[in-house]
Amino acid sequence: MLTNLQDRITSTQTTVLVSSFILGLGILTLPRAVTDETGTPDGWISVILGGLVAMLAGSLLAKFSQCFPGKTFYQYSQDIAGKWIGNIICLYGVGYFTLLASFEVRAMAEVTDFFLLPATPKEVTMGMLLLASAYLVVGGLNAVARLYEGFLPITVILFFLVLFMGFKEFDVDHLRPVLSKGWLPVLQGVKTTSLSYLGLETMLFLPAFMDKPRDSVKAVVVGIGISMFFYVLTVIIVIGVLTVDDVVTLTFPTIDLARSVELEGVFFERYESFLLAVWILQIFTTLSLCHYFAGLGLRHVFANENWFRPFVYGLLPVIYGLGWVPTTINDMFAVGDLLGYLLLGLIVVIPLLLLIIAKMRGMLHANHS
Amino acid sequence: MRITPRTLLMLVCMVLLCVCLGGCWDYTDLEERHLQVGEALDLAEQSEEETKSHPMIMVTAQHIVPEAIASQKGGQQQKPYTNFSTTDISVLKAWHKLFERYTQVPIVSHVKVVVVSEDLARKLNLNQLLMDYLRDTQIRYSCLLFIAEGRAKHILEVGEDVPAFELVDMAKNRERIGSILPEMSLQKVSAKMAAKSSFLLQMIGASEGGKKVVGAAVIKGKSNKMIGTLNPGEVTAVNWLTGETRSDMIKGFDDKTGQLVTVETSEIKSRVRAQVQDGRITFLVKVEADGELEEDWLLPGDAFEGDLLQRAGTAVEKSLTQMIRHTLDKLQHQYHADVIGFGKKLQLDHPQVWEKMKDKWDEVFSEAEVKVDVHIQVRDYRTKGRKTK
Repeated sequence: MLTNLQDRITSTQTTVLVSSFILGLGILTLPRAVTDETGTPDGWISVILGGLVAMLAGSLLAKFSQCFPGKTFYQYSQDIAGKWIGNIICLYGVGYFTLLASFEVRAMAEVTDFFLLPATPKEVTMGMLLLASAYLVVGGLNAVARLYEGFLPITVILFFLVLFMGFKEFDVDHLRPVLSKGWLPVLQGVKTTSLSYLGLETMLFLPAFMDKPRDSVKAVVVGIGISMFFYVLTVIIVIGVLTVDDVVTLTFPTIDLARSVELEGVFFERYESFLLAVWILQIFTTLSLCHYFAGLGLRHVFANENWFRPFVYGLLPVIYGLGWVPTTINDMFAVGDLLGYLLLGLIVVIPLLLLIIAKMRGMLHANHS
Repeated sequence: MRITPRTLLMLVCMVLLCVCLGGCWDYTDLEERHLQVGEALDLAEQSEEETKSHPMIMVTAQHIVPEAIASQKGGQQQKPYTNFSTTDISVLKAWHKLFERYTQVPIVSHVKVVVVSEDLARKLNLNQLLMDYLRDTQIRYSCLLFIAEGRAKHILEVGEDVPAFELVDMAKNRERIGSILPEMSLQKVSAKMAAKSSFLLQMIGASEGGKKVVGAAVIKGKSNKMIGTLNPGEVTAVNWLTGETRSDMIKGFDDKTGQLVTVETSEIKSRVRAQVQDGRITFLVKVEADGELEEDWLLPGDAFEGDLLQRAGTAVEKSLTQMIRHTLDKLQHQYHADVIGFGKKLQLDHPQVWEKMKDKWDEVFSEAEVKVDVHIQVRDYRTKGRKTK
């Protein structure tokens, strides 16, 4: 009822949406986060294992959503748990996406201020991104997906360009010895890396918009696979250039990789600008999709189809304000950790609860047919 | 089209917005910007009271003068750079005091070199001293670090061109020289310091005539302080051990006649293996290279026939082995510092042993046995083979 039937996306678009959502702040901090846990150069194995865990979770979520064809998480949680509890669940989702949006936009402002536009006030960079996001989101999911389809190739080309320039300083010895302390440190790293695939929660919503919902498992696995490829390559090259010991001392190791490269005979330096340019695109994709899901949730809670636009604009000051809540950069990283826990609530606790309630009320069978 | 009040309003807005598109409101001449290209850190005179706990540091910043670089071809005598110095106990604060003399905030994203004086490096922990440079978002991680023999400031004062740029070129000029260490960027230094391993930094000396690479400074991993120097011959040995040399000229003396021979070596390969037996660590170093006989003082010398090529090879093998043995002895027994990276080899070959040893690695390294095997195959003698008496 509440999903605009014209707003359909293809399977390819779903894949792009998933991988664009996943790639965000993590690409800059992941080499440090994972090495902090493992303490060995084996972080890349943890990233692969984490990706497999995320693929499994994403597929389960997609399967779960398929039990309620044509309905988003917001709709079927109300169907299952009733209006009041359903509304609470919806608001949890809205809160999660709003907080995630605010985190991404604040992180973007911090990094831009450090490396790209030190003289520009953060208020301006944040405001610009948010306004662009609102403009995109009111166009509906299809518009969002089309834009992301354009962004992905640009990201791939520029990002790989920067990574491969790092090869000049790459030393494979920095990644060896492999598994020197066994599998235990690697498994410890999986805790961190599987949460870096934050974005698989989109599978609670996207199947409802797909023209072929049957493909949703394939779409999420490929989507996570694309981001896994980015992540593994990043961790390998960053550690191969900067070494394990140094990576754990750096705030944004991936940027320092670009800062370590000096090519002679090329007119410009500062390759981190390229990296940051595509990274901001990827932050924007995460931000606007969060913005969209938050607006969708509010529209659903207040059950009025015409209110989507006002809600999207109304969320702007909320996201902006929440973005300013963390005062120091450590507070900001703490919000990132908090989001990891909130994510577990959204993709593990709530779906399990819904499943149990649905089973008890005997709804699952009827819908499955 | 009818002009409604709404379209009129839009038109006015569009015209007004054009004002914002001027673009030049933030404009500054390149000549007026302070483009900083190098910095030198010296130990300053101790005079003020606040220096009891902290030594005073003199910061010298080098800026380029774009007009002078542009007009250099015209034969004008203006120096293409200017240096400014101030002192403070804080590196950043000293640099900041320089702002008082400028007309603009300096741009530091093109700083190519940081030179630290020998006395400062011996006195202070480099990790503390350089924190500002490692942390700064504008200074690039690829900026090079040097130790100055004597005053660091002098290094940035000697030279025809911009001294900071000359330093970069000198540091990278390793095509046929084996006595120059691979250049050390802030990133590499940071990685070494984070790993608490000892390392070498290129050492630069300056005199009236100019500046040159005078060897290397040994930085101890535990303290991150300089503990000694290696002369160019010893750096050559280190480069052979690490396999960092591309080609080099090595001289030696022929066994039979005692005459001098010089061989140009290329295709230099070095392989280090770590062996652990009953808790004793042995490193097996195998160095191999090809050679060309360039200069020999043998009279008569006939390379067409006989064993001259082989004798030349043996001669340089011997002198090279001697250089390597001498350098290893100095590193193991005088400095107790593994700057060659034997620790990494042990970590690769025996990770468990390394885990136990890594905290006291420099001491273990001093005790370890190193077996060196040098093999140089002299293959030809260029265009002239025979020299008659």
